[in-house]
Amino acid sequence: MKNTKLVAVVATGLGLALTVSACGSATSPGASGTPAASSGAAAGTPVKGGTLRLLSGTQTEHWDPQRTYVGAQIELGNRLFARTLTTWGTVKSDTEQAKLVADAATDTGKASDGGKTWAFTLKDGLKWEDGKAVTCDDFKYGISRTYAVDVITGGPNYAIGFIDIPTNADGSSQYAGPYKKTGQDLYDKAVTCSGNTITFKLKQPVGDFNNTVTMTAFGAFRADKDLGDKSNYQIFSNGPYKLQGTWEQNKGGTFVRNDQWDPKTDDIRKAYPDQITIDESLTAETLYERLIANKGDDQNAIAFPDNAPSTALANIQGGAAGRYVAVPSPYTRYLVPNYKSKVFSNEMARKALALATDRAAYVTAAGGKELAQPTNSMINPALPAFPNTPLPAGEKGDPAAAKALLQQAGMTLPVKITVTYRKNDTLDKAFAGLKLGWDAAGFDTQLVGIPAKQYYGTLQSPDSASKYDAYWAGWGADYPSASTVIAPLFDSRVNITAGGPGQDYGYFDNKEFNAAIDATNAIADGTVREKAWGDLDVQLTTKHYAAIPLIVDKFVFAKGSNVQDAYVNLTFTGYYDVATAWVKK
Amino acid sequence: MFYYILRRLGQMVVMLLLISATTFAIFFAVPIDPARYTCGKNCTPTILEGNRKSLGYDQPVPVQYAKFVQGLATGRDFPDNAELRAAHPEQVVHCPAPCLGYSPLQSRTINEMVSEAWPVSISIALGAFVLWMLVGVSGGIIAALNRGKWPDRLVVGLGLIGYSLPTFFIGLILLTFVAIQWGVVPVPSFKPFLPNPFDWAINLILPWITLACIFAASYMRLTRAYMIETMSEDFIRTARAKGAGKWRVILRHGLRASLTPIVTAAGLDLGGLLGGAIITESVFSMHGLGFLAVNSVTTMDLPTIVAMVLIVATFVVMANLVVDILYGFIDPRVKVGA
Repeated sequence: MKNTKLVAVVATGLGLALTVSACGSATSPGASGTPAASSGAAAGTPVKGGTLRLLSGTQTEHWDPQRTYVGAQIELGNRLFARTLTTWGTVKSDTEQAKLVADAATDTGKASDGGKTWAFTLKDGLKWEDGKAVTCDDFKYGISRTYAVDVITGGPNYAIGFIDIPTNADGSSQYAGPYKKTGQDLYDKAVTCSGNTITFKLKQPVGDFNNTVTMTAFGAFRADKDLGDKSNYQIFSNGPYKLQGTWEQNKGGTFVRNDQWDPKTDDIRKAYPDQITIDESLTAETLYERLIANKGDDQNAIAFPDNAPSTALANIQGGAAGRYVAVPSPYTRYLVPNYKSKVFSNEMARKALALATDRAAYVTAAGGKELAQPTNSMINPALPAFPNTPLPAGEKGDPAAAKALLQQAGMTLPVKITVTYRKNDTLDKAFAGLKLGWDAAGFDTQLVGIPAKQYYGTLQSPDSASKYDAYWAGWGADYPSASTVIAPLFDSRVNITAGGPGQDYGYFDNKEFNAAIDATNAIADGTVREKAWGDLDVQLTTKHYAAIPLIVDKFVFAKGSNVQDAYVNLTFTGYYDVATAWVKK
Repeated sequence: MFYYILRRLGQMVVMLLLISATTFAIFFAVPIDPARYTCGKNCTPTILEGNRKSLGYDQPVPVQYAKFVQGLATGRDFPDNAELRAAHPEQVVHCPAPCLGYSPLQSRTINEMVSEAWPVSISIALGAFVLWMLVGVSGGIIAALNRGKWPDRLVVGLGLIGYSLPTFFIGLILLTFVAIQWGVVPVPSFKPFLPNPFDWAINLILPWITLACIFAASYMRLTRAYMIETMSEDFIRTARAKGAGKWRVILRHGLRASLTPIVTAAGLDLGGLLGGAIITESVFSMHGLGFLAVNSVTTMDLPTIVAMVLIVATFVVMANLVVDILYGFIDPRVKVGA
């Protein structure tokens, strides 16, 4: 009996120790306080050769360029095997903003007809891995695949939205893609090839169409290599690397040099490593353990695309000093007041909600300043259009001022509101904190945590308009133009139907604002246009109070000690850019 | 005996059909739209419809189920869109019988996925099984024979520790220190048994130990309890009185009589494990059936979910059958038809 007790004591002790260390990691995630401060400085002249290893805990859903919609795959696709007409340049530090540059095209595109026609001329010397030239028709065919919506699923549908092909009554395109060929003549009229020049006719002026074509969905695809869904993991390269053998789902693959790629046609990809391997069989926890330990081949590895999980954060500062970086994630978390709710149809009530919002509580819940930063802009800091709108009442908010507003609006306190959020531990804590601030301002907040899988479906359901007063949501730009933030979230014309609010969850429906979106879309000058998007963002958050931006979370990435010149390209996708990375011998 | 097995197999088929039908019904009753998952960010209603079609969820549920059952019997061709199959034969994927289906999320047949995953699960399960049976049963015998003395206390104590440490904890500790920090063994990744069985074993040793820890602990306790009970029975005294040797008494008379409950438990545990050791697989990044199952649920991949439910159910039912048959050999009193 005595001995059993002793064992029990030992076991309890172990349990306690575990609990204590778990608490430790939750309260002190020791990431670097200054973003980008600890990224490795360049060590010497880059050398060719070696193997760069990508350690991943995320399964690749698609390698098919037209089906790729995730930043990580867009980047790898573009950097390794699928050159696009234009792309985002490389960077020399984790904070530098990348610029739009020509890739397969000779320049970043020529707009005419007020931005309704765009033309790109292909460079000479572009080749597929079998030595055949990459032609204008290959680009035209590739883009046409997006229209086969029941085969080529998952990719972005900007082609369908922008290119001038009429739609059917149900909203579908009259062109059904290259397999059924229904409406092929319409596509052939809207996208034309003349020699090496591809010309797009658009429905409306799109000033940043040369940004849109940076997505691999606008990349080339050889018709004779198209096997529909069977092509999902088959890679046919026109970039510096090609896949050796086959891609194994949940395991990975090895990319080797494509000897048909001519570096003279390419200013972006340095292609230093002889091989790039991707191991996606791991979990984020184990891959960060390995990167922190930095043993053997793992010295030549980078985390891609997984950011460090909370379990790794406690060890990363000491264990991977100089080999990790904390950068803003591409996502902005925000709150949307519902214009159809009785309370928030009132502008003063929306303003009161904004004033009483305690972002500091959210930041604490998300793991502290190292892992989240408060924001009052819908546009992410990584984007050129980021307006950096000041917080309305500091990080903590001002419940007293908010209360005064509610009273001024003639509302009877407390004002009952129901707020939804995506249920998880972090947001449970964050919303408990936010509720305190709102309730102090005279709201009586009821929180509704909705499981992740049902979350956005619930927001988009037409019944929700009468049930909830405000929603939590998150969004990241598709490509670094703010047109992919403001328009998809707040243009009522593309969102609100009888079937629901689309992504305009709060039913913000403002004719002048929609007109301003069109006007901004048509601006040809990139700098002027992005400034105009920033102004619209400011309008949303400080004039209409149609959205209350909350935080931008930060991602922490680590790399092995031999990997040099690997910088997080925030503007492009927010991951390490493999175009410049090299491996020290 | 033959008819008994035949009858049991017949019951099994009916049960598996019922289970698969129930899985279909539950999947479509859940208020989550699987097509929304593949539809990308700026999804529109017409594109959502396209996705539903590509996933094969556009047809009525009974039709989908009938096609699934038919595929099991005769095989199927994908995509499920006859028009597309006729116009573009190069896109057709043939899935031979017994076709478990095609996962549009993985762009391959489930048979292919399962044939890749089962060697992993079987390797983990069988190795761990041998390890825990050896350690567990022998530990239990030692404890029972030394009841109340220090070997007993040691075994019971170790068993308690083994039993109270969660699998993911043991797994992570072993992985972090033994493989990553000290480099005693390579960081595990599954290697096929042939051509290099040593490579196979060295990569599996940590998952085996991890999984065996918790099971060995419970088998120690189980064996100890039954051995103590059996060793105090009259027939043991009789055997000793007749002059049987010490180990003959322990193994032939004592252990054999204690085996029935141990075999029952072992059969069911092994049956369950063959369907995948989810936590161990995930800690050591080994993608067996357990990983497939979890992955299919989180991605709402119906064809894979149904297939995994069927496979796990088959293993459990088969294990039950094997255990029932083994009883006849271990314990003559329960021989079927006797």
